[in-house]
Amino acid sequence: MNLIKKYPYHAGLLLVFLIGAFLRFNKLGSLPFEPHEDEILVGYVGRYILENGKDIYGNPWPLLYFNKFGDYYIIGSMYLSGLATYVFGVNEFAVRFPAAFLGSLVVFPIAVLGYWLTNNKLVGILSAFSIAIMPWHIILSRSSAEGIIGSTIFITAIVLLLIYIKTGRIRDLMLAAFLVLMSYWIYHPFRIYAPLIFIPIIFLFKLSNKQIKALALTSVIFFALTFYISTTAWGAGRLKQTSIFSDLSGVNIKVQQQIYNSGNSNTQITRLFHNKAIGYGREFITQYLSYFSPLFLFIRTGVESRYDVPDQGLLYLTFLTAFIALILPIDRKLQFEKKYLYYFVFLILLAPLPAAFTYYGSPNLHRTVFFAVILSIFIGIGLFKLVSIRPNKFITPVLSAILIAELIYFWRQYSVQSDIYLGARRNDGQREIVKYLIQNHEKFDAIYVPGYGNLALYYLFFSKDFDKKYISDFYNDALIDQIGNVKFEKEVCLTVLESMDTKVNSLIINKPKCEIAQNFVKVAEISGRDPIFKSVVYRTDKL
Amino acid sequence: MLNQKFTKSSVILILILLLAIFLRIYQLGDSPRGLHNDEVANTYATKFILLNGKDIYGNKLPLLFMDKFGDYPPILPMYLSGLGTLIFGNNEFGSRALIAVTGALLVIPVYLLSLLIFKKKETALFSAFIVAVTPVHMNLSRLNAEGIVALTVFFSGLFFFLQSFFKSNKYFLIIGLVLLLSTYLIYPSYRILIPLILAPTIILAFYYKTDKLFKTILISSIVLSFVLTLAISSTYWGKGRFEQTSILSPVSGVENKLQQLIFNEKSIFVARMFHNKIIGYGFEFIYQYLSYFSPNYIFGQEGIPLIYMAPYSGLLYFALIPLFILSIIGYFQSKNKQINHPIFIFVLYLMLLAPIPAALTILDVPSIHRSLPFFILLILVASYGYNSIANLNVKKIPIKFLVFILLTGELVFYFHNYFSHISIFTSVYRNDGNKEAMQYILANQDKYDKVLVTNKELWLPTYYLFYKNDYDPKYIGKFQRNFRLPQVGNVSFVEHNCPSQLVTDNLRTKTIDISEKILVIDNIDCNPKQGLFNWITSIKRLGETRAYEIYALNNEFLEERLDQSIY
Repeated sequence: MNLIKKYPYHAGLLLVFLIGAFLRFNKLGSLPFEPHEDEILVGYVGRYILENGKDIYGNPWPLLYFNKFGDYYIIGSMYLSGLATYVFGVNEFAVRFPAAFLGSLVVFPIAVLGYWLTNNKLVGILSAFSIAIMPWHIILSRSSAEGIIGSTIFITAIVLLLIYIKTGRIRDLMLAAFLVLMSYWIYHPFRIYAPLIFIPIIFLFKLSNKQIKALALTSVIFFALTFYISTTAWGAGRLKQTSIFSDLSGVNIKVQQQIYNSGNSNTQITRLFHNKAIGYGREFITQYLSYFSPLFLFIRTGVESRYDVPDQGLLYLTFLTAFIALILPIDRKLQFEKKYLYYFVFLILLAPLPAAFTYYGSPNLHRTVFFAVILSIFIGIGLFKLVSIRPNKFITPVLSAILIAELIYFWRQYSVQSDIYLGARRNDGQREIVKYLIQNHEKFDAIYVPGYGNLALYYLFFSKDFDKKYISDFYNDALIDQIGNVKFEKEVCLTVLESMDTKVNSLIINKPKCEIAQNFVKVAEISGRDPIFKSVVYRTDKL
Repeated sequence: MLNQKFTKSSVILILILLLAIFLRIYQLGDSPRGLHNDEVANTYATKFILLNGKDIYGNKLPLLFMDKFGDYPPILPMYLSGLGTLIFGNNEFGSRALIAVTGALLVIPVYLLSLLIFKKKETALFSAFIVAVTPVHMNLSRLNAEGIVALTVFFSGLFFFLQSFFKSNKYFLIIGLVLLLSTYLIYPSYRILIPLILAPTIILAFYYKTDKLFKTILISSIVLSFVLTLAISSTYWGKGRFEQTSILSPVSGVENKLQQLIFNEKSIFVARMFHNKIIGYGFEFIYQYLSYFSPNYIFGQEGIPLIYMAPYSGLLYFALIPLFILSIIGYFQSKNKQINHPIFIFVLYLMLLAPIPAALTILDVPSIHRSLPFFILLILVASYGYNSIANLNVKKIPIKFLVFILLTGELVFYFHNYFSHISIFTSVYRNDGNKEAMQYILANQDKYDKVLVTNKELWLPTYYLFYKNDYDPKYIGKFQRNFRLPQVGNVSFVEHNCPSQLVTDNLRTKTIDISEKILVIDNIDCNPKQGLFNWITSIKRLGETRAYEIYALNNEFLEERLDQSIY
């Protein structure tokens, strides 16, 4: 008790950390209920490399990427999840541990930055608290999202960078640069942020010539690195699949349509108004602004994705009042460190930039997780302004009550409704199928299952089978056709295949929504959280 | 010197007004091409009243509403459409002209209001200029939107009302209140807005130390506004459209969603606590409300309906974004110390209020028309940002030049897109082809015994009568809901998507004589029996998509095969 009184800031921060950690680790293995196929991939491939020294395609110790389907998944988070399986066992908790852990740690750099920005420790704590309880950050932290790992590393790098501004010690800059480099190894958007974060510092802060040169050189190095990576197949892979410049965005078609509509009257004018620069420019602005939409921030969780929570936004509505308080001229006493303020406004504007270049899956909460991290600092300031209004017998208790109610509502929606709501998008029932197979595969000569949703990888993961022999069997999209007597088929309704009629002593599984099979004996029904997604297990009539 | 300044700003204001009028009436008959359903209905119905003294249902000079399909929209602004056709002729320009000009007049109250807030003519002229050229206001002004009329009346009333607080000017107060309350009869959203706007002005009355009589009038008006809103909302015509579009209607899907969430819960108590109507509808309201603050709604293409969207342009210009950002930065706020802060805070309050009526609706959302005042209030907020940089120079170069450079580029882009592309861009949503189909009938109906017209578009009888310039009082009482009229002369507006099919059926049952000359206007997916009908032509929209197919009954074919089964 005395220690708390003596060190209220540290005690407060510790409490915030514990709250954040609780919200990220509580029932982590079973909430989300079903491991998504990407989580299984991350855990399996990571452990596979560490076990065998090669990835599932036979590449020795890959350090840059794992190419699932031309997307060139950055490998860092795979190693981290793989390592965690050694500590916690081959299970969902272990795979999710790195993101949950790094996600919990983000409160510390946020608290520091909130404090530095305002010279007020309570702002630091409130900023840390807002990220600790933020649905956006919690959902991703519990889903092995590599952006969470990357953003904690990156924001820590920014803390070190600002320390370097104060101290001028090159060691701090080196450490910051090292962490920035680490973020390249975790998630794509940080490769765009990295070179840009050094530039405004040079203009905003009073620096020695030595510091200016060091920062400029670091920035140039990261520019060169980002440029180089963007020219490689593995660096450009995912961007090509998702970017606004891909055919998917429809910009090119729209420009052509406008040119057609202009008729043959004046080619010069048509070119002036309907060209690629304007077309892609408008698309970029549309995408960029979508991240500032209240609907994206407070109502929906972005485009339909595996992270959705029904009737829940990425931020609490209470945070909206914090934003309003932030811009209103109340509590003029709060002394901003102007240079820091401008720098963080720059970071706010920078944060959605990489995501705004993408069209597929936009607006995307994962690609903009760093935006959430920066926003939390401003939410903290807004909350401080609200709770420091005088006289304040009313605002703090009401605000706290609403925030607690929102937190309870979020947790209820997340823990009860979300798994059912996301059944189709979170591979509901996959784990239950493979666990059934692991228990029963020895009783049959052959088992035929739909390989849909990378079921084979689930099977290997839950049977803890990381055997080297599979290297030659895996092919594009991390698929494998057969493991022992279990065959993974391309179709989803296997009992309708003529070839199945001839099978003897076999087990056949149909995915949900297949017609009831007549010539087979129904053995069991398997479902995950949503009973609609029910797979039916049959055995052949002939023994 | 003062006179010179006054003259200069007055001249600029007049030029802005002329620009606003020009932008709203230039090519008004052709851009957008042809009349939309609502435009033709409003124009025909009110011209009919002005000519006959009764509406198409037989009501004498209605002043409150017109019943199109149980929606009961206020009729007063529609009279401008009818009156316009009496002045300028029975055509698209006549239908749109008076509402377009009323829209242009908005620049005056906006100028005065902005001057009241910022006390700087330059900023007031900036506000007026932005209103004159802003896409959202221009688009709607040129499309007979009743909300445009209400908007001009509302901002005129708002100016007089707010001006009255200085020196307790009761005349201005009464003029302001009358104008504000008259919006009840012009556009339904104001029936929700006005009481919420007036109620907190009690604080302003005390802040400005107005006298007792002033306060009495104000309080009486506030009470009156609430009573009027309650009274109107309890009438069938007052709640007609709201019941069709509100978030409380089954269309919103809230009830279904709640049932789904309740199904997933195990405990009844928990289900009731987390998934009740208050949370369900409350969340839906917040969702709708916040959608009006989405940058892609304000500056992009998320607005509904699409007929109000200019192609590839937003509702406000991107150039205003920096001004919004400036207005929340402390440094720039400090440059605005001289402004009339209580009035500006009141404007901010209005800005937060403005989307509420629209947020209570679920159909065709986010609705541009229902949230129209919101955009003008946003322009006033942007003007706050402008005011803070009006005298700010960097190396002797005024910062505001940057805004004007951006604005110029966007203006050129918008005007090009509007006047070159609006008709083709909105052709599908704007009932393109109806006019052409009816004009074809008017030119050819005498050659046939019967003309049968599809009900694919419900309003075709009104198009027909409008383009025929036929306002005969004999139609009184014959109109049905949706302005349906079963027959005009030899033209029948049948309740069938494919009149050709109807003719085929009637031939089979021999209720039509095979010698009758029949013209049918079919929907495009009808595909009548080959040989039985001669295809004459397709009515196409701009953009070459087909709207209607026109056929004539092949009497020769029928006579040749009299004894065969040909149906």
